[in-house]
Amino acid sequence: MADKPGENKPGEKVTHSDHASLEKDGSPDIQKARNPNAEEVAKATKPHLGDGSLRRFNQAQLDSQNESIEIDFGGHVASRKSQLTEKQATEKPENTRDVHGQHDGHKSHTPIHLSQPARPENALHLIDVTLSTTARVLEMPFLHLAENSAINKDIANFIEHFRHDPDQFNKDATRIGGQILGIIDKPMSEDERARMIGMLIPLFFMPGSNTPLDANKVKAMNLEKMSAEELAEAGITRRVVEVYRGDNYAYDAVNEAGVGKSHLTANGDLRPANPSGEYKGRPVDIVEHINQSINWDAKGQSPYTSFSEESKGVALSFGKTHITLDLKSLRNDIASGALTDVEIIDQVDIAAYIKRSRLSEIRQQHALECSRAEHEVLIKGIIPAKYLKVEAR
Amino acid sequence: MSSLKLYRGEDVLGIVTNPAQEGPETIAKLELTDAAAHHRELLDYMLSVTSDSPDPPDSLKLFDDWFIEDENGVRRGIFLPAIRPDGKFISWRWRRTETN
Repeated sequence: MADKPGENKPGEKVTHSDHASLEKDGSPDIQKARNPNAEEVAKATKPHLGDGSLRRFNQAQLDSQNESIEIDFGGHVASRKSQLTEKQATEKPENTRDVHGQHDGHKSHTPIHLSQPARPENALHLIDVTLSTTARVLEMPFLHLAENSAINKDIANFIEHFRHDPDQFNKDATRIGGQILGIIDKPMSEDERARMIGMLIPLFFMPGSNTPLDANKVKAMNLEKMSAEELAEAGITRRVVEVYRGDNYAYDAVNEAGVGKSHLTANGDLRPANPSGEYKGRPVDIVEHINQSINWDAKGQSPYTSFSEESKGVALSFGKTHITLDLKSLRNDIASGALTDVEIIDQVDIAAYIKRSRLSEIRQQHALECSRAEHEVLIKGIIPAKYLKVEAR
Repeated sequence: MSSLKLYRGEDVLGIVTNPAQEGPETIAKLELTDAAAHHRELLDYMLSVTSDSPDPPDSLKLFDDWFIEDENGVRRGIFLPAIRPDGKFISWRWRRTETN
């Protein structure tokens, strides 16, 4: 191995650690490599002194060329011809190792130990490499956002990128995933692995799908015409902030037909017909709740309360009491753990619940159509009064 | 609102009174008409169905052609209504229309 990067002699093996040192920022050698002047070019040692003819590139020469750069994993050697994944290359061979990590019967190479656990004495250095890389990756979007009209331009580019092809999200995810796999499925030194981790760390802090799309953007992308399930397939979560419920007898626990129902309690909570949701020793099926036509009695023991995303229309034409649920606050408090025993079941969840129903496919389909028509959102459990606004009409 | 009519196709199966909203459903009193006798098989199935009942035969076309007509003669589509086994109460959900 050469003493310094850039001083490898012709045909000499380039080891992995050489690459690592070449990439080091601020190295004078790498600056020269990037900016050679005419004199340096003239003085440069040519590694292959040929006559310019292709005659010498016969098969034997090409084989040699292909073996000219190797990575020695101690037990296995990976090269262009002998391609090994990192896992294959680092598998412990059946041969016994000597104390230097070399193998009997193999020619001697400078051993480079890849994929070994980070040693304690290197831990601080590797953390430094990881965090420095993270800082550089994060710096790029920050500098970009500081430019004039950066956000407006990004939105325009975003819309242009996705508006032609409904499968664009999936295509992008597949392409990026492939690129990442292509990178990580190669041998890496400890430093390279630390840099890779540093590059990936910012992904965990990106706001991603938690950032609401503004109304204009939703309209421009025609997202409002897509169902919640279609949006979910495209990686977009549809989050409703308010839902509504009309009820003629909002404080009655039983309706005129003698069937239990969701109702407001004396302290203003909205209580389902039966918070335990148990009917004849089994849980009430969500299809039974939506599709009362198959079992009135099961509906009368439902743990769910139905709301609609729609605040207008015939669905509320008979309701004397109008209940508005602050779904956003309810969702936040459930997520933070401040509120327990309450579950929000939106359109995507309802479809999933229905598919798991024990009832027949034709019953499931009917329930799904009913629920979709209403843009229904179900709440399971008792809803505390603070999330509700109750108005008499 | 005084009374509504429950339609199956072109037949009035019942007179609906005292409608009360309960979330996405409307619950009301029902009085079956003489025309209901022409839909005996259909009503027998609807009044006796439970969660464990077999699926309705295709010949009944159970899920199609249900309407509620208001006192002004305006007819709106509804999903398959639920009728109590005693035939005295009905519950339904509105189908989505362009005006909703």
